[in-house]
Amino acid sequence: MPEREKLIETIAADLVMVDIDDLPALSNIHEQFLTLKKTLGDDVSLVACAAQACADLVEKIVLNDVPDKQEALTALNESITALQGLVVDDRQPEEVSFPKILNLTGPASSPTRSEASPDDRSAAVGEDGEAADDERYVMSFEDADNTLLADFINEAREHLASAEQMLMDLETGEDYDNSINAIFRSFHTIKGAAGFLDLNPILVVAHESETLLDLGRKGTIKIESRIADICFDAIDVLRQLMDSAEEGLSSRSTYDGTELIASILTTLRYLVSHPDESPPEVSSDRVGDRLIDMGAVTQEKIDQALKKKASPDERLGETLVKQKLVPAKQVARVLRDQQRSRKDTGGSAVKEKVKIDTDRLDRLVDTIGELVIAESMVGQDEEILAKASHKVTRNIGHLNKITRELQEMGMAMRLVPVKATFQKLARAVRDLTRKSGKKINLEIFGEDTEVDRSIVELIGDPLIHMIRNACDHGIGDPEERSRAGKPETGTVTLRAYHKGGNIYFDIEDDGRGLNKDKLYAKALERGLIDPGREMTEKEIFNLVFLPGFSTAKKITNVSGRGVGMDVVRKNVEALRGSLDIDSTLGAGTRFSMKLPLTLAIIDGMLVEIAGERYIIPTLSVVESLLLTGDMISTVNERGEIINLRGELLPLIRINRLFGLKHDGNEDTDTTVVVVEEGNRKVGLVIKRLLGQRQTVIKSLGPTFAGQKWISGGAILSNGQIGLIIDIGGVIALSEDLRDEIYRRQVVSPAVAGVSDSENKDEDDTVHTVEEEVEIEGRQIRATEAKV
Amino acid sequence: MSMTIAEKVTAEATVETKTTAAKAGKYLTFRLAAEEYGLEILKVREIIGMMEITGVPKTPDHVRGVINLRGKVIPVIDLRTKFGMGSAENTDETCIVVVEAAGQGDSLMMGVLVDAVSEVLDIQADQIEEAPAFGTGVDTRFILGIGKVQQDVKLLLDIDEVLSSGDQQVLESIGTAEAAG
Repeated sequence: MPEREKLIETIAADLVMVDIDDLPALSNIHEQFLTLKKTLGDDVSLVACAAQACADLVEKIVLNDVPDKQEALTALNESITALQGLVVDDRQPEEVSFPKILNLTGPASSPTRSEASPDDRSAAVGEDGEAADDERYVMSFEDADNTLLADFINEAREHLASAEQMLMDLETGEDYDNSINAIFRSFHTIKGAAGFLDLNPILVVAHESETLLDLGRKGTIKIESRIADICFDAIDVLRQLMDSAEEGLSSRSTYDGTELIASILTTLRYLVSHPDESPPEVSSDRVGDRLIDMGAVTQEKIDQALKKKASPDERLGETLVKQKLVPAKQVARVLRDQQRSRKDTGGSAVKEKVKIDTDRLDRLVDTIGELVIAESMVGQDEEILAKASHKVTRNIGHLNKITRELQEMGMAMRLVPVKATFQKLARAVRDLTRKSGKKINLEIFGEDTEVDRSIVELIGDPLIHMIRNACDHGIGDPEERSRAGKPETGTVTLRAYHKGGNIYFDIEDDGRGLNKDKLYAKALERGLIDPGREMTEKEIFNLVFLPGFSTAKKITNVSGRGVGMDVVRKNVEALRGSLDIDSTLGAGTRFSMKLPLTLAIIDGMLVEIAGERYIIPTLSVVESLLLTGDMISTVNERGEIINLRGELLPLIRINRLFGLKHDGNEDTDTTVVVVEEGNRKVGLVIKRLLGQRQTVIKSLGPTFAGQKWISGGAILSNGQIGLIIDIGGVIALSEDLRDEIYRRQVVSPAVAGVSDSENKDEDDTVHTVEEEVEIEGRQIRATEAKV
Repeated sequence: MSMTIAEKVTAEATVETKTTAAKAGKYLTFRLAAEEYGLEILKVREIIGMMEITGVPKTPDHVRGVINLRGKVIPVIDLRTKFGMGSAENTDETCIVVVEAAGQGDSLMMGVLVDAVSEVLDIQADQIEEAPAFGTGVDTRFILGIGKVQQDVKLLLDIDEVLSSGDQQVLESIGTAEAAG
């Protein structure tokens, strides 16, 4: 709290100026020390004790109760300096010293303990490990300073994220000393700030964690497995406290964190006071462990080998090779791997960064988008191009170049590396492995790959789900794996890379693989597919995306409830991406998620339909061809088909589907654009292709949220809007229409009054069936409009 | 709590005057077919001349389409059609009034097509009357009240209601209506 600092500064100034006989001034100083003590509330930290002691000393001076007043005054000056050190400069207690006259016991005299663990609290923890439960940890936001707290919360979250990452690095044995210091600093910073801001629950958890980590960096305990678990738990609790703080801040309330932190506090305090009870566990980075994991040698052989070691200095690797237990090549490889993973992954020069409000960044990028539109409206304006002199053309070209550069920079500014998301995944895998008892190694490639900010948050969920799938269903437990001849530790590989204007995320496991027959049987059983239906391997694999599908025999709290993969696919498709599965029974499975590089810009094919312009996303386009009447065959009441190199392709006449006017001379001079959505291919009949454009997508807004066939609008170079066709929506719409026609004809042909013979045109193509429905549709809409 | 009849009547009257008082203010008046309407000036963002509207297929007739307003895509509603007056040819006076209505959730910018824009009038509380339960041809949900300025009658529209009610549901029900026949 800045008030505390100010108070201490004031006391310091007063103490310097005061005259030993100036009783009123001394009284004032006495009051100030008491006020200082009051601001610390129930806190029994060193600062609080010192404040009280100083107040008492001043009182004694006033009451003439000290042998040497001058000495007492000097002592007070020293004390205030020490207090400044602690509160203003955030020093450690062992770095400051209080004069003996203050008689500070407990905290001041045990330099290995940090401020807020006075004797009485640790006594309460004591041998039984019970926490002092008369203590309540509350944080109040009623008069809180919004910006200060918001900044604190943001920064604390960053510190927690980096502490978490380093904790995981710690576990893989990388650079122990640096990491543990860095983690310690993170908690220490959070603790300091929490102290100022009077966020007691956060303060006390951060403090106990810091103490534990301090023991860690001194070597008293080793931060591994069980201890690391506790640290992760502490991070989680702190995260929850941050969330509560955020809520409390916006609702201006008071939050009591006592219950939330009770268990972690007890555990931390217990660990701190019983350091000898946690024996340092074996590092899994050791050569021996790695060799065992590789299956090159067993624990017994290693033990035997160790017994027969030629000399105490001989390393395990050498021993094993000398005794011919492990081929030298394998040991060499393990040593190389060890070296590689121990190499500092950091080391790149820290680039200077600035923090910007995301709102400002978004506005900048939006404005750049509008500049692009305006520029193209000028640069492609017919009037200008007609009259353009050489100089004008050159200048317009220059303008265009700069605008494109700005656009690229704008898009680049929105890019963030996926590292943070991957970190979360790494943590998830770690938790999963510990809970399930399986051994799973997560390998990550391409964590520096960058994606648009809007995407990075949305891919987290699908990725976590797929990783959980891989860990839960894909990788088996160690015995199953050894029986199958695989190493006990399964590998899940997460890979991110750019390819062809898209970004790919592959999740591959070397587990059980997908069993086609089981999948088929399950789908049949659940009634999700019709019996007797022929399916390709890919189609069977894609069954896992159907809602309600899960072949897991056990329902864990993570998987098995059958609500996962279909939601994953829906989410991915909502991002205009796609999911692909490949699997080999017994060897493993790979999920591949493809996403466009940015959600805001679309690569589209501009087409003309019935005099109007539409955009078909290039992503979905397979090919396009000129259509002639003789290519079309009709299937009874179900519509038109063409034969494309042996493949039967249903046709969708967009102009009719959308109720646009007739597109003049429909059987010559038309084009078919073959598009693909999921695993369906159809041919969209348009008038002509106008070109390819990269345009900014604008959402049409909630007014049009209820329809599925237009996914948005793009602003064309002439300032008009080109509607973007949603392929899936159009396919669904045309199927609905066809089903509707079919139903009418079958159910009530008399009512519908439609039959082929009546409605055939001279050139013998069936079309008016849809038109009939179209007219009826219009009538329906007209009636609804009156409502 | 029981109130005497007199008290009840006074209470109701006060409520009424309160609500009509709340409706007093400046209104932008405009013409649709033969009648004059008004909408709260505070909700009007701008007025633009008629421009090319890109129709969105398979949407209700009163949803004319979308326009490009300096880079922003906003929908345009034809009020005549919405109120069942039948559409008319665009004239020189036809305009699009861009309003900011309280849609589902946050406020939404939408354009409404009007035959002509008249003027901004300051309408006092005593010039506003409740809309009669029937007879105006426009759904009473959409009317804030009837403003009497000199000899003219202006129908004051609750533009939030006009633009938010029904459009979403109508669009969604297109699919079901066609499927159900």
